[in-house]
Amino acid sequence: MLNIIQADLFKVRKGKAFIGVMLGIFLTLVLVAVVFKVVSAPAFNDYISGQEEYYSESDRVDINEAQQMLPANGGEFLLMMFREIASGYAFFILPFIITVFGADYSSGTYRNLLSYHSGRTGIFTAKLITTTIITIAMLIGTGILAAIVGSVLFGFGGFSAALIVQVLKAIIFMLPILLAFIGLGYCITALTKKTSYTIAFYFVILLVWSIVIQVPAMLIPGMSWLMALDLMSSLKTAAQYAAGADVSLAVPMVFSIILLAASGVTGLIKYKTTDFDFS
Amino acid sequence: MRTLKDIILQCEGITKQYTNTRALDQVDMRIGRGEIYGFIGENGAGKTTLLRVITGLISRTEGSISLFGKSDDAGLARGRKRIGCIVEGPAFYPYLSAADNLEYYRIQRGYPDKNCISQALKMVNLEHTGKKKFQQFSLGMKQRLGVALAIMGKPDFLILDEPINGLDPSGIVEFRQILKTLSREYGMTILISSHILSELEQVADRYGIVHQGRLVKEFTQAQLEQDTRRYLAVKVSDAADAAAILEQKLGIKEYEVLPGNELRVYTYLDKSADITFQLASNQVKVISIKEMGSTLENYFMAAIGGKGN
Repeated sequence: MLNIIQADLFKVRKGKAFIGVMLGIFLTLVLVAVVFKVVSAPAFNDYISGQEEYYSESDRVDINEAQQMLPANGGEFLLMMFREIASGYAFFILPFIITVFGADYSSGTYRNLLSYHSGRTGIFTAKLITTTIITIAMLIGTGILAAIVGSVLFGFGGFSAALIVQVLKAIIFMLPILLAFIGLGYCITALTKKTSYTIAFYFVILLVWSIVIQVPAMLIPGMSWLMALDLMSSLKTAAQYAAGADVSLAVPMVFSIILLAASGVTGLIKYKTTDFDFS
Repeated sequence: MRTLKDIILQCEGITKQYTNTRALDQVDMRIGRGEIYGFIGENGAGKTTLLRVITGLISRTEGSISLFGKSDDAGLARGRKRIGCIVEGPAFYPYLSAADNLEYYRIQRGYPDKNCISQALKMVNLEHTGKKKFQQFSLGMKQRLGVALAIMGKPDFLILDEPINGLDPSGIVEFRQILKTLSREYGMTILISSHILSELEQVADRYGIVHQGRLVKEFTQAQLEQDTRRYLAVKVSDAADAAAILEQKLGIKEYEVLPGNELRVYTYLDKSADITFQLASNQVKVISIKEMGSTLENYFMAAIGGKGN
């Protein structure tokens, strides 16, 4: 199993999936940081103040209040970004699922793998572990990039042991939820045997699930607890929880574990029993 | 007579039933140590299905497999680690170079010696491909990389599914040479499939023909040579006299005398007029003389019950 993990890490290192995802995260961070910078600039403040006659009372934003929400330094930007883009991690991990697991189907390399290694449970587990390792690397990389971008645009500062602990806690709390997404991706791939279907179904399931949860949660009184089952939102909740916010993470965690178990077992059973006789 | 210890692969009653199709039907096959076994059949005959069953890519509906004398699950798993194979064509990651693709499998399979990559690439003449990606390879290069992966771990048993597809004539010659080297120098046992008998004629020791999921015929290279040998069928008035004349006047040694005053002459195929002249000059009447013998294609068609029968 260790050999398979090492080999897949080698493959990811040689490929473009990880670099591509990190580049996407970097561009997101830069874009958000630049918007923050523009909003907090005195000239923008003056411009908004001069436009007040065009906005109704309810549309107006308290400039001072808004500026207080902006990051004061790189450390604050790091914490803020870790929270704000958390939901996006559900999509950022998809290229890793495709590279580590799905590519064997699309390139036909499952033939080389399964004709040598007979234990399909071990193979499936090894690939799940590899994707998890890369996901952790992505989260750590995001923290490093956010620290760099934040420090360049908002000034170096705010980095302390407490901040690092907070970031590590956020990673730990987000990980079970991300594992549920990884399990879901593996399950879809094992069932459909095609990476194109994996991408399509993964996106559809995530978006449809969010809508299915959010609509009754918002429209039906007393159903707001359903929001805890929206795992994309739960990623942000996990980051907030790590920052000490007064939110509950119990239901999302339990739901994540149930989803991981259900999708993982379904995917594994399919993987173990499939006749690999397709081209 | 081979003992069981010498049998590398033994398939007994292998059947693969899909919902509406029986892809394999009671296939029995034995391959001994050091043999090069040519597995022949038309497209869709069941060649790749059997290779998939042997390599564990698909399950079998009935029958048993033994690899290196072991037929239990653990024994088969260990046996498969001693197999190098290309099933259904070479498959690699398109964005990696030849060396990186092999490095991936070296790590995955736990081969400690890094030199095995350069050795395998050299053996198939791909050592100079550098950073060129697999997706930029020609079909022949892809086939050769497949062979490089198959032989990288110096397996005891090599399974190659249609490895000659896509190779140009010089590539086919090179490939035959590689197979002979692997068999002679490394003692590898080789199972090689093809839909064209003539492609395997110069490398295989023994053959099996599969048709509609059944193994319809097995034969050795010697039997094939015998059965497809060209000869002149000469019907004469006196076979004993004719034989003496062929030996004394034309120096022909390779012939057979059959009942009914008929001779089979295995040489002088393009000089039948000389034979006719000598026999007639020595008062032996030639009733008929014609070239006979089966081509490889006819032989194959006859085996599967086709129009060459």
